[in-house]
Order: sequence, then structure tokens, then C-alpha cells
Amino acid sequence: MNFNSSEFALFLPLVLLLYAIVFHSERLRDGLLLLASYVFYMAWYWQYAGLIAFSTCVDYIIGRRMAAEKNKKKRKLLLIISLTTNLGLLAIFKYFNFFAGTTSEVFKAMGMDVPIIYHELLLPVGISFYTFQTLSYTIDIYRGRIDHEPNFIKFATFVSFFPQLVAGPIVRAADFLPQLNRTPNVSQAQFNFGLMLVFIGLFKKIVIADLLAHLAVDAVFQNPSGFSSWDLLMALYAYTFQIYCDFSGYTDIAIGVAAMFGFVLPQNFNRPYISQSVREFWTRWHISLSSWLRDYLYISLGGNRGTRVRTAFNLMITMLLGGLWHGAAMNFIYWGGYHGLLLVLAHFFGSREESPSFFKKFYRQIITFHLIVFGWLLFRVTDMQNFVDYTGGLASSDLSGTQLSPLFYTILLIAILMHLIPRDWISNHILNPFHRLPVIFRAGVYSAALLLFLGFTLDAPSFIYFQF
Amino acid sequence: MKLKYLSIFFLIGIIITSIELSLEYRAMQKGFYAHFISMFIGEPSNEIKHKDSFPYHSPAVPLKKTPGQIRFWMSSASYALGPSIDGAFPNVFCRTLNSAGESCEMINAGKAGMSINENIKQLENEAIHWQPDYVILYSMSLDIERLSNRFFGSKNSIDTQTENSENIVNKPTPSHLTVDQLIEEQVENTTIYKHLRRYIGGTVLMSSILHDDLTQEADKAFKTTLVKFIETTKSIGATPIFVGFAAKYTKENISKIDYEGTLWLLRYNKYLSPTGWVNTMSRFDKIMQQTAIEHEVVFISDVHNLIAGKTRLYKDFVHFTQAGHKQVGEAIASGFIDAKKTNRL
Repeated sequence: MNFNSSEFALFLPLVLLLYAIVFHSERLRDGLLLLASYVFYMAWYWQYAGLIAFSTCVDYIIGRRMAAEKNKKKRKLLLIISLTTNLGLLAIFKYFNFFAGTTSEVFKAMGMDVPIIYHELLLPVGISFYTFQTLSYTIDIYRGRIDHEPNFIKFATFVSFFPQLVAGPIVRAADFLPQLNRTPNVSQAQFNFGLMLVFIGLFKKIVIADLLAHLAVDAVFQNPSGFSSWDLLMALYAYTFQIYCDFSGYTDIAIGVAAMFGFVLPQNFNRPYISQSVREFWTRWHISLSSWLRDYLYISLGGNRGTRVRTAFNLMITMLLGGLWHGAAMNFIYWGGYHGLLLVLAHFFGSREESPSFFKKFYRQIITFHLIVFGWLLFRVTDMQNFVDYTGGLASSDLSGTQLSPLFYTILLIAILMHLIPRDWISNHILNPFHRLPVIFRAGVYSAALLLFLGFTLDAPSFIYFQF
Repeated sequence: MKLKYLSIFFLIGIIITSIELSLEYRAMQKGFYAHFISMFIGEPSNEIKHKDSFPYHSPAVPLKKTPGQIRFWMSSASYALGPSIDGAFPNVFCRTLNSAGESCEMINAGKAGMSINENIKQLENEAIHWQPDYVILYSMSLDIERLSNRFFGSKNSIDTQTENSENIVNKPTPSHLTVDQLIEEQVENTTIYKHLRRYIGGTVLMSSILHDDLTQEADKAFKTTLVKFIETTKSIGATPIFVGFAAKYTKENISKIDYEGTLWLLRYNKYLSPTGWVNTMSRFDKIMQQTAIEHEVVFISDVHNLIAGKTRLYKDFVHFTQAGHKQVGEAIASGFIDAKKTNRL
């Protein structure tokens, strides 16, 4: 079920109504959240609910046994079982065909024709997200950071909580399970805030991301040679904001919906394109993933505790695997490698100046922004030929007019402004005064917004990060 | 968590329902369809009811062919559905032939949304039982639509997947709508949605990057489909006849297309500009003519030559008015008689 679907527009109020009715019974509340989460997931492809249930059962049992086990070796063995099971499922469903295909290519290049087996299984939506989520649970128990969750329903709800099930943010057990174990504090203000975030997220997705894709990105990336360098550059900027608005829009909706149920999800984006370095970008972009990779991969590899060369190696491995997490395709590996290289270069040569001047700061932001933009080109292209065509078109400096419409430029400008305006300013000058309006006025504004979204919805495309 | 927090959803529901019902009332006053109001007060259906044994848009004929009668099968789409059975051009064609001394039986098998690929499947599955002598093909715009979705659409789009599928007609159709389809259908039938799509969606589509032509791959795909149509028709023992397609606008008058006309095109296809449509239709017409020559199939060009671009004969870009149906039916009949006289049939 997509957040930007009519189905979800009915599902959410209905679940909230039932939630309000059973709110004071902890068992019914937990049961309802779990049931709603599975209904939400099964609306996409009901067969794959079994996969989440399987992961949930495995990690629940392992968590219990690990907590009871004092023997270090046995605890390690249990952790290995959890890692193998979860990553094994991920490998089968997400990476098997990619590696089989790559192996086949290697054999072909060596002149050997080895028959390769492919599967035709659909990629389960959200598998990368919930796998990382359950892994954080068993790893944290192993590291002694958290205790196991004795209540199976609560644990299953943590794994499958529908607002963030399919595209994050990736929630840590240490952050979420305690919230399930106390009565959620849902105030009117929190509920209003949640609803507002849902509408902001929908605006980012439907009005900004989908329109940028429709008005320029899809057509330009499909046939780069048919456009001038100016259009190619604009479409690349547009994709930069499309992917941000698409993903952060999803996150806003997830955080908003969770807030309406009384839960706090971690912030996932913090105006990433104003970063002054690539390192800073990764503290502002997909924060829940980058912090997961830092805590469970980079630090496990040794982090920055070894030599500078070893740290660089750890950075590169982390970013390559981070790229591969996004999808089983070479361009995601190149994208991860590119960011890894930028981080390594920053590690060796980066400036550590604490308070640069305004112009220096601005200069760094512009440079960093364009480095990130180039990375998105690697991320978006369909294959290397597409990349060559695109970069070739950009480098040709052909400024022979534009095929892009005024509406496209307007939407791009709105996207840039939305990104540049500080969140506090928006809260103080728009959101807070809006919340003080009588409920009937707010309902009127939300109704108008819904109608606007309905008009702008072209084919209700899925969120980009659903595929990861 | 208190129930009163949800009052905002209730108010949003009331506001949107009020707007919808007001717009529906206004639409009904103007004689248009109103989805929810009609559910309660009912509305006489304009649809022509068919007998299950003869689910076609023409006077029923027995399954067994009457000796001496020439049986025609019309492979087409919604263009062949007139305001009434008698008024639809395939039936006008048949009457014109009868008055010229022929004995014509028409099975007007055109149904809304059928591309040529679907017509082929229909020939294999249905026409074979009716043993037509001639199969007339009048179709094109739906193929342009599907091919442009296939060649310009996203690689993952449903249109592309459908078009790439060999099983375009035989794919299993669920006997009932799923919950999400049901909800989508209800939303799309509302008057609000239609207005929003028209004014907001239309503006967006008109601001898109639209193509002024289809690709050469599309030309090849169209020709392949035509050849398959000829082969299938012959395999059921009938003779194919192609009729050149005619639309409201041509290369000559496309500059005069208005907002409504453009919007109508973009409603069905978001990749081709109006110029792209007429350019493609013109080229596809040539491909159809060329394929007909190569496979010794009669090509009736009169409809295209006499009716294309005559805006008063059209309800929209491809559908005819009553007068349009009459002229198309007569033009095909004239082409058929001419082909017989010159021994091409």
C-alpha cells in the first residue's frame, strides 16, 4: 500500500479510529498495531508477509536464547545464525540474480560457457530496511547494549511497524521497544504535528518529486542526446531534488503517521544539500542508514582506530556496501565507491577549519553540492552507455535553448527554496500559526491540499526507495 | 489518544463530500453523468444490451452462415460503436451494400479499448466460430497509444509490461476488483476527480516534454502486428481488408487544435504531442498501405481521404458523430464495391 494512494487515505483514519477505541488496553493496542502493519504489507503482496514473520520468529528466539546464554562462544554462534539467516534472505531475494549474472559475465570473458541459474522471485518490498532493523536487535543484545524483548507481539510490532516498514527510517530496537513498553503519550499537539508532517510529505512526493520526474527527469535521462547541455544540467539538478523530496517525503509521512500513534521515529534528513563536505552530507542524508552503517559495519571493521590507510579502507568498504544496499546493480556500487573515494580523499586532504568565513562556507557548499549531484548521475543512469551519453551531452556545452517548461522551473525553484529555508523559520512562521487556526479552517486547508494532490497525481508512482 | 483528535478527518470528509455532491448536482443539471447521485436516484443506461449469444454491436446473425450471404467481421475499437446499433458505421456499411444488391451480414466486433493485437486474439478465439468471409480492420490510435507507452514510457511501467507481454488478451483478469482497484475506480468516477484531472493534471501534461514522432522501432512493431493480423485472418478462412484510419486532425489542421482537443489526447497518452499524433498516424497509414500491397490485401483509402480532418464529423479526436458514422460506412462500402468491380476481391 502506497502512502500516496486512495487506499491509504481510508486505511489510516480507520486504523486511527480503532486505535483510539482500544487505546487504553495495552494488549489490544499492540495487537491492532501488529495487525494493521501486516494488512498494510500484505496489500502489496500477501505471500511475502511470511518472510517478515520468519525473520521475526528467528530473531525473537535468538534474542531470548542469547540473553539467557552466558557462554561467549555460544552467544557468538547465535549471532552468526541471526546474521546468516537475515543476510541470507537478503542475498537470495535481492542479490542472487545480480551475482549469478556477474559470475556468468566473468566466465564468458574467460571463454567458458557455464550455465547460470536465475530465480524469478519478486524483490520483497522493504526487505533491506527490516533486515537491518532486526539485525540491530540481535547485534545490540550480543554487545550487551539492550535486553531482549520478552513479549513476542511487541517484538513483531517493532519489526513490522507499518509507517516505516517499507522505506525507513531504520529504527533501532533500543529506541523503539521502550516506546512500545509504555503507554504512548498522544497529545492533541502531537497528533496535529503528525498530520501536518503527513501533508508536507505528500506535497514533497506528489507536487515536487513526481512532477520533476514527469516534467523533465524521466524524458531527459531516457534520451540524453535529444537535449541541450542546459537541459541535461537542469534535469540532473531536478533529479537531485526529486530523490530528496521523494525519500524525505516518505520519511516525513512515516514520522508523521507514527507521531499520530504516539511514537517518535528518528529524523532521517536534515537539509543535506547545504553540507560543507561529503562527510557532513552523510550526517544529513538518510541518517538512520548512515548511522547504522557506521555503528554496525564501519566500527566493526575497526573504524578510525587503526592507521590512516586502514581507516580509508574501512571507509571505502562501508560505502561500497552502502551502495550495494541500495540495489543489486553496478551503478549503485559505482555510486557507493564514488562516495567512498570522496570520503577517503577528505580523510587524507580535507580541511578541518572550524569556523570558515561566509564566502568560504558558501564556496564549500557549492563544491560539495556539485560533487553530490554528480554522484546522483551515477545513481540514476540505467547503464554505462546512458552515463557516457549524459556526461558527453553535459560536456558538449550545447546551450541551444531549452525544451523544459516554465512549470518545471517553478517546481524546481520551490524545491530549492524549501530546502534552503531553515526548519525553525518554517515552524515559527507557518506551521505554528497554522496550528492555532480553528479546526474547521485547518480541515478546509487539508481538504484543498488533498484535492490538489489528487489533481497532480499522474499515475501514483511508487516511492523511489521502495525498490531498495 | 482521544477520539476527538479524529474530528479533523470527519470534517475533511464532510468538506470533500459536499464539494463532490455540489459538483455532481451541477453536472446532472447539465445532463452529465453524476457518480454518487446516480447510485441513489438511478440513471437510464445508454448502453446497448446484448444477448450473451451475440455479444456484438450489430443486428444478431445466426452462428451458421446463411447460404448466399457475405459475412463481414469488423475488427475495430470504440470508433465502431455508434450512438445506436443502426447508426454505427459497420452497420451503415452493410445497409449500403445491401441496397447496392449485395447480401451483407455484419458482425461488428469492435469493443472499447481494443488494439490490433487484441483484435487478433478475438479473431483466434471468437471469429473462427462465426466463419466470416471478410475481416475489415479499422484501428490505429490505440496501437499508437500502446506503442508510445512502450517506447517512451518508463521501463517498469505497467503499460510497457503489458505491451511486451505475449499474452495481452489472455492474461488472467480477476473476476472481481481488488480493494485498491475498487477504491481507485470510485475515486476516478467522481466529478471532483474529473475536474481536477482536467484543469490541474491537464496543465501538468501540457507542460511535459512531448515527442513529435514515434520511433522507427514502433514502425516495425506496427508492421509486424499488421502482418500477424493478415495471417490470422487468412488462417480462419477469411479475407482481410484494411481501411485507412481517419482522425479529426491531420498535419494540415493540427495547428487549430484547441485546449480540449489536446487534453483529450493527453488523457490517453502522455508522451506524444498533438503533432506527434498526426505525424505518426500519417506514417502508420503509409505502413498500412504498404503492408496491404506487399500481402495483396485490399486497402480502402476513401475514409482517410474523404473524412480525415473534417472536424464537424467528429465528437472527439477519433470518434464520429452520427453524420460521421454515415459517411464512414458509405465510404467503406464504396471502396468494397470498387474493389470487387476491379477484381481485387
